[in-house]
Amino acid sequence: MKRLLLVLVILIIPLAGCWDRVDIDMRGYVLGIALDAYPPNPIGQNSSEFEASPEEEEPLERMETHAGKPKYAMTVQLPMVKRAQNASSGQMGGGSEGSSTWEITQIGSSFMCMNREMATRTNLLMYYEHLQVIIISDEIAKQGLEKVMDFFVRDPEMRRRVKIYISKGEAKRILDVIPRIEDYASMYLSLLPLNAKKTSRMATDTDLGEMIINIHSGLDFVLPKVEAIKDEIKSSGGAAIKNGKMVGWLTEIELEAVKLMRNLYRGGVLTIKTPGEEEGLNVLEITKAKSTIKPSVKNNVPHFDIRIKVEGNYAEDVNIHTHGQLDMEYIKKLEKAFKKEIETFCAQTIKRMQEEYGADVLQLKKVLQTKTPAYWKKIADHWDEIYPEASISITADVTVRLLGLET
Amino acid sequence: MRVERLSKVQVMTITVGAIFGVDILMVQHHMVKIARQDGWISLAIGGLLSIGFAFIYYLLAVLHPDLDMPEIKLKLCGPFLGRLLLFPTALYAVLYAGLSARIFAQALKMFLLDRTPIYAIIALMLVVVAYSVYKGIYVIGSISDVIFPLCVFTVVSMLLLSFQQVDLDRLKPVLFENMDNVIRGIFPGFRHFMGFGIIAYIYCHTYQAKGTYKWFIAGLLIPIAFYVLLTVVSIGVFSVGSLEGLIFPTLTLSKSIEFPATFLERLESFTAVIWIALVFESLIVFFYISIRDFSVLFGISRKYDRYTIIVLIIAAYIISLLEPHGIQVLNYFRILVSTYTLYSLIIVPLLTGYALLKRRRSKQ
Repeated sequence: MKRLLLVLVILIIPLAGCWDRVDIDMRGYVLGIALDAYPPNPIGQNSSEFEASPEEEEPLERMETHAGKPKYAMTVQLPMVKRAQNASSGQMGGGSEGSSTWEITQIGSSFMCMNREMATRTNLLMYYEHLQVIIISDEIAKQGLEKVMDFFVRDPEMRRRVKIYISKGEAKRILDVIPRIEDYASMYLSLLPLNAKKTSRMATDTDLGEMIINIHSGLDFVLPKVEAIKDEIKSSGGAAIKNGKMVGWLTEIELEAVKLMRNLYRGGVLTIKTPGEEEGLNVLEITKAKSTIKPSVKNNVPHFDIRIKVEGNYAEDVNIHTHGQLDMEYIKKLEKAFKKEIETFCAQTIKRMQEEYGADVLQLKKVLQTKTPAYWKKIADHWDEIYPEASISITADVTVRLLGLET
Repeated sequence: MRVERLSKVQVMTITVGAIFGVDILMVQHHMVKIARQDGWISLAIGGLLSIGFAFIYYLLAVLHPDLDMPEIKLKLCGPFLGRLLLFPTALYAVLYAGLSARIFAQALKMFLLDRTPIYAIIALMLVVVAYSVYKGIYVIGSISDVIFPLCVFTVVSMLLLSFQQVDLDRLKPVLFENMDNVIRGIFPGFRHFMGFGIIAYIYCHTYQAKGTYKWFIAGLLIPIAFYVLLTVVSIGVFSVGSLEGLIFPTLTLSKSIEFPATFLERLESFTAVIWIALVFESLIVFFYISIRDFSVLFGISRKYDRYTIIVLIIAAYIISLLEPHGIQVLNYFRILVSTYTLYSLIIVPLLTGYALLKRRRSKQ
């Protein structure tokens, strides 16, 4: 009897429930974060009569700081689950004309402080485990990414697979957009890189973890560029990051070249002018691309031999008539032309990176570190001066596998 | 006469349980800090050396088939010297258990139970540990039987799921002007496998059948393989620069896995649950060691084990909460294991040598 009583008493303890229990509707699931420099003050794009004007909001967005001047504005995107439920069931009311998300902006000097200050403005507990995307304004990226990323790496709630974007202009504007086919801009942006299999114009493998690894390893890299209009978001091209700071933008084709040379190419399309034709265009759908970089040292100057092997399917011709003419001879001619095009735009990209940005976005430094460590040890301290002078040769090899349904 | 008997498989599962523990969360961080991208090589060499030392432990146990380690010490060295040699081991086991419990609670608080106080996490864990240890070595064997397959499944899944993120270039250059560091890393690598010493405590409870040694070595090889692979994968995923800054790389690794199915977004929760079981097993093994050591040290009869358990659990609880700084707890843990490893490297071969000598003399 005594034992039974003891067991019953012990069983009462777990009945109280988990210490960490938080009701699901009390959590503020942060889906996206936008980081802007302050000033300028973030201005919402989709303001309606139900929302306060930026001038009215600013006193709420400001906070007292123990140390440091307010330099940053952090905006978090919270889904308003109840409003979204009402919208889906047709029971719209109150602020039904507003969006189903709430973008709270806080201005401050540290991101942890801003995060906690938000608790003064919402009854929800900010929860970052389901964070999908962090958008950083180009202004902050130019000041240095490492300066602002510590909170996002140190906090146990953050995930390393969170997608990172650099916005052209204000980052908060991106979160304000309600995409036509998604409720939340953050979810939209987290799914967008899946299209990298179809287009080579957007950067891949650019999450928080990869970014931090590159910064800690002292490597230059590319982050995807994102820009928005009122109801649409576009991610193409990239931001070149050198020593943790943004040094400039990469065009879509430059990004394509970087992906081809760094073995990051997932799929895309290449268009060339038809050999010997004035107007004609030929299109190759690239299905497979693989590159190797071999380093060597000539006269104490590093040389890199980049070989790109591309396979694809003939996809289209424009302004010319090729019906029944795609024989082996023609295909060989096309392969040569595609090869030349790849070599040309890759060389142009390298030239710009070396001369204009000085950014080693191909991570040739890593190639030297891993493949010629003895040489790297000698030049490690002078790499920034040596890189613009390094000689780089590119050789492409293109194979057209299939022709579609017509020859 | 001993009634409880452990099977050969249980020898393996208990050995695995004794080696794993909080180390599985941090092993890569330690090794990379010393030997950088070659940390896995130091760990592998340390692991291979530990197989040699494991044989010495096994031999000592085989020479005394009815005695466990504290009894062997007393038999070989006499009551005074034996107790003198026993004291550091007894102290080590209880300190190890206390610090392990604290590191376990810190990691759990970081990754899963952010609002539960550390004292509550440790208290609950120790209560369950106390109950399991009180039930004896046979129950410990059964617990390890249950936990072992879960542990293998979790670690293997984590390694496989992480592999697509591995960049093997991050492991290069291999051994380039890094030999000194690799050699320096061998001892720290070796100490991660010191749990093999459990054989000297459990051999007398086994059937002592042929093939026990093979299962014991299998119990050592599994953690060696897992630790080396975890280090290789972690370097490949995080790079040396990032790994040096991660306190619990294994949990961060499980958090970094990108799973296509959204409902498995928080895969680390599953890993953490299995890992709780792993630490639990490690704690019961070390509590068992400390109880046996203290019982023999003070000549306490087995029927009073329950009181020894209560005293030691309270002691471990106090030890776990003494140091306020989390980072210092990790330092103490490292120093403790290193010191004990050194002590064992000297004492156990001497004891085994002396036991062999004694046996030869008695034969003559």
